[in-house]
Amino acid sequence: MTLERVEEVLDAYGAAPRRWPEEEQEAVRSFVEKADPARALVEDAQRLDRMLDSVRVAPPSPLLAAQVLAAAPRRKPRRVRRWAIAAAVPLAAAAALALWVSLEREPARVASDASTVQVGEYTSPTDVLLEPYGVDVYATIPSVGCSDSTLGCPEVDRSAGKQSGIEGQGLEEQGRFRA
Amino acid sequence: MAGTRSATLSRPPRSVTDSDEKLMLRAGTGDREACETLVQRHLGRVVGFAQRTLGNRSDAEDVAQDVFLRVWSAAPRWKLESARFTTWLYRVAMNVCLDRIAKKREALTDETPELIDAESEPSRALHASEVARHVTAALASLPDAQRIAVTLCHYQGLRNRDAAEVMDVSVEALESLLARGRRAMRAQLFDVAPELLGTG
Repeated sequence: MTLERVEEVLDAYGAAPRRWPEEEQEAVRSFVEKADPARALVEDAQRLDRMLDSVRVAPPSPLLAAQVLAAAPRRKPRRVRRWAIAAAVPLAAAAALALWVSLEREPARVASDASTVQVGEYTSPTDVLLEPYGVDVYATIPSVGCSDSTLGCPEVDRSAGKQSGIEGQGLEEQGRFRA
Repeated sequence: MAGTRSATLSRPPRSVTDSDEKLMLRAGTGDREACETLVQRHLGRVVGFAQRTLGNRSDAEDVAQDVFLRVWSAAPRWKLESARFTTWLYRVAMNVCLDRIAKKREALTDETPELIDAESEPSRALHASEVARHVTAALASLPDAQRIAVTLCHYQGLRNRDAAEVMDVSVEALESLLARGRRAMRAQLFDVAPELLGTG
């Protein structure tokens, strides 16, 4: 160790040994204890250190600390819950797909008898639809027209009662119309 | 059983004992306690460094917020084998400060307290607050690299190797910056308070 090196150390790091280079602390310290010129240099450095130490910085306010912390990372959702969500999505999709496929492949339903209108042969005389209101066409013998049964004209039982004749004839005519 | 219970109760929280690097790993998972401990340990240091580097409290608080945003951003990607947290933190703080200085160079110059002309107030005893004001002005007048070197080593208490790593310079270069910075400050302060420096 030399006086020149001690001066360099004090110039750069000041008088506090804790700031000196670790590997030179003991050598500088022992040199200073023995050499008066070095002690003078230390006192000189101490004065500047004291002036530098007069500058204080106020500690950070709680508000600043709170603002800084507000931006800190948040804990992520628990792993189990995240996995559960991750698993639920494909499961739900698969269930929806299975439901859709099953509906698509289901055979067409046969309508039940109860809800189906029996569609058979139409047996009602359509002439009734043309019947003038209040006139019974079956009970009325036309004054003009066919009365020969050999020609296919209906035979009319003139002796039958009005109502019964109407009913019987009506049923026979129905069968004929079919033929 | 009672012994176990008392041992458990007396055990300090993990955040108190964990290293900064482990706290960063925990902070990356959103551990609130780890984040709070990091803030308790380092917010004051960052504010102090920024205030001395920028010479302005308001800017220093802005920088501190910016620096911690970067801390939180880096936390999820932090690895134990990464750089020492403190070194990394100061480097981030230094870069943010230098960016701010570059952008606000004019404003910083305007805000720098003027050194009192020694001839206008000859050799009267200075109060502590006045001394502090002169020192702040002298520090602010240093070139950026010298000011950061003095701040890191004198005020923040970093060892020469750590400060050199933060500044990405050799230890010899750091020592040169420190020596030039302190000499410049001594010269300025001697002009206003020779009795405090006692020489000359």
